Amino acid sequence: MPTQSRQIRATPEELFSVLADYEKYVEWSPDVVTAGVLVREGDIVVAEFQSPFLMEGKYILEFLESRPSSITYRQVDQYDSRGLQGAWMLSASPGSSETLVTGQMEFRTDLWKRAGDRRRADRVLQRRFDALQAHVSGGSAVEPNLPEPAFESLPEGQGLTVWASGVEYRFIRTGQ
Amino acid sequence: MIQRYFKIGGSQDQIRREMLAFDSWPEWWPGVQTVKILKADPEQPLVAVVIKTVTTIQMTLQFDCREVNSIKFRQVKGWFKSYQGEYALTPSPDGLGTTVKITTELESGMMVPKGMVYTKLSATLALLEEALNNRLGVQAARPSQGREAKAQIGTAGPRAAAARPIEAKPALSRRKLGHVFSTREGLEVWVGGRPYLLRPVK
Repeated sequence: MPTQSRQIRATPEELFSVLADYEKYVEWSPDVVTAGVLVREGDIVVAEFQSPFLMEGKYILEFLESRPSSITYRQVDQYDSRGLQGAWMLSASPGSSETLVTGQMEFRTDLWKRAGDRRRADRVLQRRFDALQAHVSGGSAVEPNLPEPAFESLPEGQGLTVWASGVEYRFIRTGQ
Repeated sequence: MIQRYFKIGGSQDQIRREMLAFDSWPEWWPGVQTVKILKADPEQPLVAVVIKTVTTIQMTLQFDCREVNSIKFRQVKGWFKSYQGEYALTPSPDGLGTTVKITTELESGMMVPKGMVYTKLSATLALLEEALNNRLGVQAARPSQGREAKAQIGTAGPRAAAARPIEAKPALSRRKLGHVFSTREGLEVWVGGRPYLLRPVK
């Protein structure tokens, strides 16, 4: 399963609180556009998400929480090993105020799409790490003050040209 | 085993009432063509149902309605080798409706591909969410409404809130509109959950 790790300046408890607040993923995770908890029973939480970059339509994840060291999740409405699954693992770094965060994410659809699925999951995981780091530090790697977007999505292969301060920029949708 | 969860903008009582009104199923339950009540037992009714999916399926289902928060069912005669499951109803954690958990176990027999049956059944269950919401005349309280929506419920608690009809409320998302990451190729901007590369044109 694709795995990434990063040292983040926060305690495991603080990070766990962010990662286990599923409804608030829309506030910090760049790929998540809707999120809501459907069931909460002890350490098990079922939540519904929409991440257009990963898949069309909503999907449902079942989370198993082990505070404050890990959260594992898997998509519940999928056949066999298809769908999204992964984990967050948190371990305090001795003698420092940082936590080693390890994220795993695997996304599987059809057999012939495995390479693309893996690339997408890798990218989402990387950006979630970037965003998580920025979120817990109270800032952003590059903090934009974006206006209300004029578009929600661009068709693949099409671009949007923007001129700012005499420089021409082009938005290009970078694929699935 | 197939599991599916969805949220319905109605109370447990409303949902239970609709789901147990077998005569009305052909009006709203996706794929259901006819229903005949063979035994109108309030606790364990027996129902013959004809469902049109890829093929036409005839089943006799025994329901178990003895528990308040769940409806169990099993096929006693029909197309599948075995078919049983449960509709479990719990108040949504945000107090804005009811979460329906559907668990289905089935054996389709050797000649029928499991993957195909699974995909078809999953698709039918997805339609059920919309159909049930339409039937109840409400819109499901969509996710990502944030904590503001929860605050509107007041202090009566989720169970009390789930026990009364739910009015659809406008989404009050506090979703961040854009995320920007600096990359070697340029600025990677995520808008609407999708990435775009922003780079100067040479």
